Amino acid sequence: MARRCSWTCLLSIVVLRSVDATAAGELSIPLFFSKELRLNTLVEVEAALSRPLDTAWRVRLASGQSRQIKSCRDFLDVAKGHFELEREIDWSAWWQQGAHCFALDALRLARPAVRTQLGWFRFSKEGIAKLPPRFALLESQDDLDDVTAAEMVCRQWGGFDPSLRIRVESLDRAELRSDGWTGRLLLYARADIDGDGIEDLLVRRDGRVRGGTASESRVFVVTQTDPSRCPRVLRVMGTPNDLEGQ
Amino acid sequence: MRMRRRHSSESTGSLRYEAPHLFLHSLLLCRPLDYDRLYRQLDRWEGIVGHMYLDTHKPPLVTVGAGNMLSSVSSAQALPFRNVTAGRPATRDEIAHVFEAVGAMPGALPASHYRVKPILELPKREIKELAVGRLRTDFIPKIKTLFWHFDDFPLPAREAIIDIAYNAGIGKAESHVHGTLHRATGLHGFHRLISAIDSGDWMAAARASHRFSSRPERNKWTRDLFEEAAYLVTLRDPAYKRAILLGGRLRPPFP
Repeated sequence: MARRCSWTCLLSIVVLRSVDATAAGELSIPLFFSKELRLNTLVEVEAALSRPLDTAWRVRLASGQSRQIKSCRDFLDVAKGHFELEREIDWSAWWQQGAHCFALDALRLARPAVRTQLGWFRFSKEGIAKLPPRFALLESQDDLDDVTAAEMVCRQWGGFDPSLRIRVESLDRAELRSDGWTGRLLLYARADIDGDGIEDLLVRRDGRVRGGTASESRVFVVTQTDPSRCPRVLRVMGTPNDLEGQ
Repeated sequence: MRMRRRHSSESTGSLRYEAPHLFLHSLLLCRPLDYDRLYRQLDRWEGIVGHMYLDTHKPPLVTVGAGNMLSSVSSAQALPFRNVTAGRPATRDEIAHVFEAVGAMPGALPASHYRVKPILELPKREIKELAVGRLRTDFIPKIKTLFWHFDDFPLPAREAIIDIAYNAGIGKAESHVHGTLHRATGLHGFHRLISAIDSGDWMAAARASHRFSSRPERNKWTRDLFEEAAYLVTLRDPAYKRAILLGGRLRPPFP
């Protein structure tokens, strides 16, 4: 009897210690950053926002003033308002070059996660195909309605778009091909982005339609809060006409 | 030629138009496509570049003019590039050199960064011919397979459809391949828009013309074109013609 009690006590102590450790953040989920972000820790995010962009851009603001855009801070300042680029042709390049700024902005309030329901996610064909169907390139309201309906029944991207072909190129980068578009996927980070303690994915998807000129670069925050529920997109950032606002 | 309009209530979508002259409407309804105007619209929304540059494909592709992709060195050499620096037609070697140099550069840069030396440019007339040629021989025939009565549509509606097709691509209709459903793509994927156009409901077409990858200004412009089409068609109705001839203001019968 005494022996059984000691085993039970020992087990309880181990369980309590692990709960305590989790609550204290001692057992946080390791962070992951893509090399493309050039980050080692979350502390470096603020400095990364001030790094120069690949190109210095000049935009004309709604007020008529001209402004030079040199860093992500400048980019984020103007991206949500009304502005014009010097040349219309550069519209897509502008959003492509600035997409990582949205990722850095999202990481400002990020921290190491203490729990994860995204442990299943690997940057592999199978893992990517299990992402929410909102990762597809959506052009029309009909596309968005189809995606919304698919998400309601927990369909995965690969099931929603059977023509999707994924070629993983590295630990964080994949090439995408589908019936109507081509693009690439980039896993920017794994961290707790929204501050609920649960791990989220920060993923960029570039896409360009076949036979047309439309293209976009979007950054998605993906979360899963319960193993019985499907992963879902929390936020979409990037090219205007933000899908979040629809 | 644009009609004056007053938006009485932007939030509810209710529009109040001021009636212009009837003969202008009939002109706009049946006027053939103006390719100069279409080219200017392409320039406004897509941008036109005289030298070779990389587009935003993954991987990026060498392109020139109004989005004319150059699939190989030989396709570039087939175009009458001019050596701007030397003031003479470019040689085949110069074209090949610039094609390779641009192709080796990173993507997602402003187009002007790809203006490498020697500076080779296509003459403006050639760029326009290429763009208009694509519209005439590629886009418009394909649009007509989707909308058989395309030529009978009001001019602004035709321009709006061409803009969407150029931007989103013509795409393909939904299909089943080996028992798997393949979703409609490009213009074919705009089911509500197609249905609205087929039924001649240009206001519904305006609402369904939104593209998520387009900038808001371009979406608004396309929407306005469909609304103009709705207005023109409404004016064809004899009852409305009478109302205008009697000097009354018009309130079209759509929300």
